[in-house]
Amino acid sequence: MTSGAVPEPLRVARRSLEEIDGVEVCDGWTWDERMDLWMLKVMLRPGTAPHSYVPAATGWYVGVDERYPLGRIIFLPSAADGLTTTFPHQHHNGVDAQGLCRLGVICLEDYLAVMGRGPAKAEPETAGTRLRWRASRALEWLRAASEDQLLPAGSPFELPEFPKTSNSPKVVFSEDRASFDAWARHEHRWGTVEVSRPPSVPAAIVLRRFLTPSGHPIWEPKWGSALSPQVERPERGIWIRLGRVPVDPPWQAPTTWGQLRRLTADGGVHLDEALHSALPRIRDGRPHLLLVGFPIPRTMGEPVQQLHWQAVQLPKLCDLHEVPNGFRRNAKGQWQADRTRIFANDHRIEWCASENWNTEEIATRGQFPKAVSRLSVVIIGAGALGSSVAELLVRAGVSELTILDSEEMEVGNLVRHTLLLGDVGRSKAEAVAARLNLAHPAARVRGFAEKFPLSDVDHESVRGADVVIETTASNDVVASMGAFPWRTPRRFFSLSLSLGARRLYLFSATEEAFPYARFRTAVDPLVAEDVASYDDEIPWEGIGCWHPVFPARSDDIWMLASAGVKQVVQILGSAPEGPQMMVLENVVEMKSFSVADAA
Amino acid sequence: MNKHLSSYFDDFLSKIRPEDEETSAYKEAHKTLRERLTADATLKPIIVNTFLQGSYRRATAIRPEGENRSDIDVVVVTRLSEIEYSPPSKAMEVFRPFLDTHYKGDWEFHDRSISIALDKVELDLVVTSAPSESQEDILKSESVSTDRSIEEASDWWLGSAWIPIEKRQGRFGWDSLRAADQAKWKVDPLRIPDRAAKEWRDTHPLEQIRWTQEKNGLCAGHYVNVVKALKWWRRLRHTTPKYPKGYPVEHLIGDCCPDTITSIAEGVVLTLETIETRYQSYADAGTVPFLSDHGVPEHNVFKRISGEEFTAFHKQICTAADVARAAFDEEDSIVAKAEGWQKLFGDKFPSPEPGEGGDRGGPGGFTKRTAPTLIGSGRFG
Repeated sequence: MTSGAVPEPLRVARRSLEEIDGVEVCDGWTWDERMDLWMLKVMLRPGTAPHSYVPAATGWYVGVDERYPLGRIIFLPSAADGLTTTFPHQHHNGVDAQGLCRLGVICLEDYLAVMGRGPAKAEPETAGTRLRWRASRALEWLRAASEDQLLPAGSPFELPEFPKTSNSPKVVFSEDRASFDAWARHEHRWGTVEVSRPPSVPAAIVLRRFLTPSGHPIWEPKWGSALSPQVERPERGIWIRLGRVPVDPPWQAPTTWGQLRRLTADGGVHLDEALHSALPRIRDGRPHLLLVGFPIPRTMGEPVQQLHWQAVQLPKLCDLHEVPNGFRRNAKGQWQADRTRIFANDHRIEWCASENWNTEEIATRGQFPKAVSRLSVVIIGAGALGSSVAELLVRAGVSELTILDSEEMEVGNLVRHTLLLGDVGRSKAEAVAARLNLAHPAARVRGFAEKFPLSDVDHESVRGADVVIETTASNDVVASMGAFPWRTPRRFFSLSLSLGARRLYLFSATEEAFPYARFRTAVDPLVAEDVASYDDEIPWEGIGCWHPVFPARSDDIWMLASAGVKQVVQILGSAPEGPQMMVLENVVEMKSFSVADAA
Repeated sequence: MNKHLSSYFDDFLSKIRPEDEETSAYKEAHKTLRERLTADATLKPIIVNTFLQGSYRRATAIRPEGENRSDIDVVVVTRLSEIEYSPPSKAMEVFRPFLDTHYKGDWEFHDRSISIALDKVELDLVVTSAPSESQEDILKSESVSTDRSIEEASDWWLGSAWIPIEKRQGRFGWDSLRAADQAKWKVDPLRIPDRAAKEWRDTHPLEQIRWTQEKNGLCAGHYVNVVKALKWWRRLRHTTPKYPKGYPVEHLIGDCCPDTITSIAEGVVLTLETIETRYQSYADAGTVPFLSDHGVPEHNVFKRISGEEFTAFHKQICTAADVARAAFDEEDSIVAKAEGWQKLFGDKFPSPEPGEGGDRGGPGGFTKRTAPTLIGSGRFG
């Protein structure tokens, strides 16, 4: 909503465009109610050699927020005289029936600077500089487009936009190099796939098991517990595998079945043949998914190395008694009816959102090195420290984790636990496991409401664990660890906090048996020192309750748990050494915080 | 860099053209006057129509200085015969009772017009004698009565069939209608009092409006803005000589502005240069050219200007032409370019915002990364 007059910052911005060679301002600012933006028509002339899809001069609409220089700035091709095809780093450039622009907003983000194109400095913020900077970038985008350099060799591969037609949940798959090799061993161009909708993750429709036409498994990713619940009768979808990314040049995904038909034919796959064979598997009166798979590289110019699946929502197929007039009441007639009703050349493909949730794909934001995350871990104790350590490990990629704790969650624990009100009364171990299974797509966490050792002494999750982390601060438990017949060497850690939660005692050893005596020798003097120097009162738990309570808040626990986990990961990544005790101390000096090695 | 700086000129024009408030005020004043005249029992039968003439109608007016009122020219076409009402002062007297009723104390007779001083506006009424009866139809038509300037009334023409564009919904064929309608009507000059209100003489405001509209069309809408810009220049930079001013200057610009201009900047520089070269010999000789009025060709628009005044004026034009050419041709520095135009137009002509040279969008190709590439604000959460 805006009043009639053009705001002064926009006038300043328009004038600033006069300074750029190659930008011609056509008109004045007009308010577009539908887009909620001020729009300005410009012509861009990149001055490069002619290109089949980039005319010498193209028309654009610049859309700017009314709060300019704050807010959005977008560049859209003009419907009348702008680009008509889709390029890389551009939204699908379809037609917008109502507007003066097409839909293909161009992406002017930092990849341009990384490629060495256009203004390298940060985006300026004043009225006279911000739009001008963006317009320079748009001109650079257009130059790169006309030189086929928007996805040059060496740049990260980017998928074209498959325009979604609905807000259905995301179809989620897991593909990487390893699965690509699995796929390479099969020739099949189509098959079926088992699909599930995990109740605890409503946003995801998970692709579970890919099967050949005769029902043999090709590939089944190892999903975490939350994404692979047991299902009696899994839902089914069909898949079709293409030889390459289906795009019309320069980088436009197909929106109609006719376009897909033509593109797949170019790639040596006969779409109708595959559909004709596959559709009977899902002809059951319900809507199903069709998965279109194609190989992609990670970097442009390099060989393809993983499969990408793009999902299509199919309506329910024609049933025998529903065969419309003009078609025979048999399998062939059904196929022809569907071919006309759904898969006609000019019918829209109902693409839906799909995403690769393989750890490789989501790892870029921060995961442990593989050498660490592939280890199986058991955490003894799911209290404040244990639950924090567990969460830090799982989020960073540890997928095989077992948690032991015999206690139940109480309301007083909330001050420094990762569990919530809804978990009060539940077994801490089981509740933490349930929570952590939702913290990573690959997480397979189990919780046992038992004290260490488990009643099933030979339980594989404990006996087979590569790493044992003890967080109970109970000498009883540590003594049990010392007495337990582990039989094979593994990494042991004991983490516990000092009285005021200012220090973390971190004991590590790589042994066949846990060195309990060594541990006590190392930790007892530290504890004595701590108790002697602790001045404050030790509070008691509530009214009518007699036992003392450990005073520490979440900020204390999480700081030390984080520091501890960093040390643990460092030790795990290095060669095994003899038993050692490390003290991590929270030193707050002046205004700085540092965690110093004080042992 | 864009040679024409179109958006700079657009923004400059928005600061010198009459403001909305002013425009509403004078339209309101005219509307009220017209309503009152129509309601007056004595005057209604002798009035054919009233209409706005002058720079406001031709879209060549610039906003008044400071707190000054806008001067609005209104023509009152009457049925008073010249035979009965000579000298013309007699015709003006007919309006005395009306003026006393509605504008007591605020009105005054002048040599050839009646002024009415209102709050924000000064109306200047010029009374005409009776046109021939065959002319009454066209003089009563909406194309004459409309208060819209030629910039506001898109697709205006002088003809009985003209209606404003928003009333044309669903009807087509306006192009051929326009051609036929214009061809049908030959509008004669009107007769108004001469300077001392002793005789009736010809004038043709409608032709001046029509001519301006046509010229503006040939110049892609830039002509009226060139006039406004140059009027602003004169008012700002040269208060002497007193003449030429007003309509004569506009007429001169109209004669000298080429039809092929593609921007206001181009119009300003080419008009100044044309005036310079075309009238150099007159200025040298100390004589004044005869500029033939569009509606009444035997009238010399430059009648009242002395040789000395014209020479001084021409010299100012020459200097301005040089400044304009330098500004128009400047290709390297946006700051120098804008400052060049500001020499003529003052600070209502915008200045460029300061900004470093580095991000002024240079030629394509690779830019060396001199500093680490920043992502967003450089901070994260």
